[in-house]
Amino acid sequence: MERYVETFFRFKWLFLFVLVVVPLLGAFYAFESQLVLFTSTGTVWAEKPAYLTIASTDWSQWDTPAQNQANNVQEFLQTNSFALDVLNQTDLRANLTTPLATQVTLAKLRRSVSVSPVGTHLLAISYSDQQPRAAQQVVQAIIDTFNKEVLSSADSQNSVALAFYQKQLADATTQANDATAALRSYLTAHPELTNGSAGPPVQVSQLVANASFAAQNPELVKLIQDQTAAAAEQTKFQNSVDQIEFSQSSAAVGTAQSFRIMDAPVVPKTAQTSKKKLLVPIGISVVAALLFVGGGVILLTLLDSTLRTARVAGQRLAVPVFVAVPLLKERRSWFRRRRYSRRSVRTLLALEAHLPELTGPSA
Amino acid sequence: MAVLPIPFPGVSGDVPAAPAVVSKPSRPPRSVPIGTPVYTRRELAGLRTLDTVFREMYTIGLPELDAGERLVVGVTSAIRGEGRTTTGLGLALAIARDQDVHVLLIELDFERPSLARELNLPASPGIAEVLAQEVELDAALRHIDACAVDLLPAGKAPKAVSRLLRSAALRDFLTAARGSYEVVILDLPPALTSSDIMPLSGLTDGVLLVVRAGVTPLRLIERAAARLAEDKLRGVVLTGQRSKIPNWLRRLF
Repeated sequence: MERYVETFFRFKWLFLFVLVVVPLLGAFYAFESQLVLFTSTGTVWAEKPAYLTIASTDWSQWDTPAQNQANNVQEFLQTNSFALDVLNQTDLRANLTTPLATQVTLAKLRRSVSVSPVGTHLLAISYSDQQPRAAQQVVQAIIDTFNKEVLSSADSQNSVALAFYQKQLADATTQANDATAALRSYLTAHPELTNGSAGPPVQVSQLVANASFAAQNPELVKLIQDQTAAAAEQTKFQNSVDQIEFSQSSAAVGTAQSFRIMDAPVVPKTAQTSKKKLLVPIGISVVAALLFVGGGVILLTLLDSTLRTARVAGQRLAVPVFVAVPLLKERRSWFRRRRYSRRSVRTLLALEAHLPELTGPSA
Repeated sequence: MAVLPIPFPGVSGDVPAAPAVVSKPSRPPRSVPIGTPVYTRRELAGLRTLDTVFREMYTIGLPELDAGERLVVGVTSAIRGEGRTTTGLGLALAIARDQDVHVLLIELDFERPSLARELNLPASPGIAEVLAQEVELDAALRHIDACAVDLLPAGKAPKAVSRLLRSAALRDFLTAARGSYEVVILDLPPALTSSDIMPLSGLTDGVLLVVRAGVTPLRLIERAAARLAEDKLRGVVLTGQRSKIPNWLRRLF
């Protein structure tokens, strides 16, 4: 360990230079390469859309509306069609010149967009760009395009469902009408059952209550049961059609209400600096400098095959080390550094014999 | 015997009467000129540190001294510039002063002798001339008057250095020196640049291997140690050690 510390202090100015200059260069690079980014943010109020009362599998009941809508927006952004729709509504469409440029722009869009719930219903959509106007346009375009996509999706789903249920309703209506007509015909043919009046058909419950009558008129019971079942089927399909028509009409209005802008994105006036982008190059340069110094100390120590101290010499030599003669040198000062010449060392050695006479008793 | 021409204060020659101790010289000299010992307090602290270090060096590395034995000690290093001569000189001074014995420092690095040059002494005559019987030993010795240390520089290098270093004359000379001096210190050539280090180390009672901190690679130190005569290596002296770790942090290790 002593050898490594000795090596560090032998080259301390080099190592200190590296430890100071490399982080400074890293900081310089960080400030120079720092992009001036403008961030625009829009906040949106998210609610569960009314049309999802029928098709609710797209909506996680465990997440908040803000989280659900945030996930949806993020998913839409991963599609090229949605992202290109967004870009085409902004000044960034000028960048969509070549396939490569388009891919770069799409990647930048996905990288620079932030969709994050800030509450149960509140959703923040942010975008950073070097052009403040583009930042505002992208956020606005995302909100608009998302609304349009959701509306279009809901509308198409409702149309298909409505066509299906309307056909079912028509069939059920025909069957109900036929069953009613057959019952009326039977009652007309048997006036004794209604005492000659064309009153309302006898209820099944009444016939069931009168077991002997039902046993005597099984055909009538069957007609009444058919008519009742057909009417129930017609009612069911009518309800479905009504619900779809309601959701279709509410989708046009309801989407806007479930994803409505609270704070519209504005063109940012001032640029924001990213502390992370500043600190990362500085941190990397500091680590690189430390690695350089550490590696340099280890390498120089391993390459140094000389003996520098008596302790190290004693460890590495098989023979004893009697003494270590210190280097006779005046203390280093910042403005001058004086060394004894070999001749003066020997002169001093010769004069050493007279040291007491030179220095006197007190020395 | 020549006296070391360094005018030590209070010892001999033209020396100032009293040493001057200046805490902060207005313009500190690049090196301390010989004969004008002006020191800052920090320099004096450095000297005291060296004094302690060399005392510790012979106390741990040369325990026979305390038993009164006579020693021939070699000082070498793996390569040049590791502080071999400085260590030998400092060791000689410390032993001579503390043990009150006579010490002889002999320079045997003929390839690049430095002792005389660094101390502003005449390069010759030296041991080369003495072994060649060109001069008397007394004429080649330099004496530090204050502390019973004699210096014998290499002198003029002969053509056949190896023959000289492996000669019986050198062995006989060292035997004689052992009789005259309690401690003889040999400033040996670097172990990896001289092929004579093994026979030379064999002439000693022990060798101290000087290693420059932060300069000499470990593999060179191990190769140098392997070149010495068997069981002659006493230990390692680490020179020029200076830890860069601050004092407050060094306490943790």
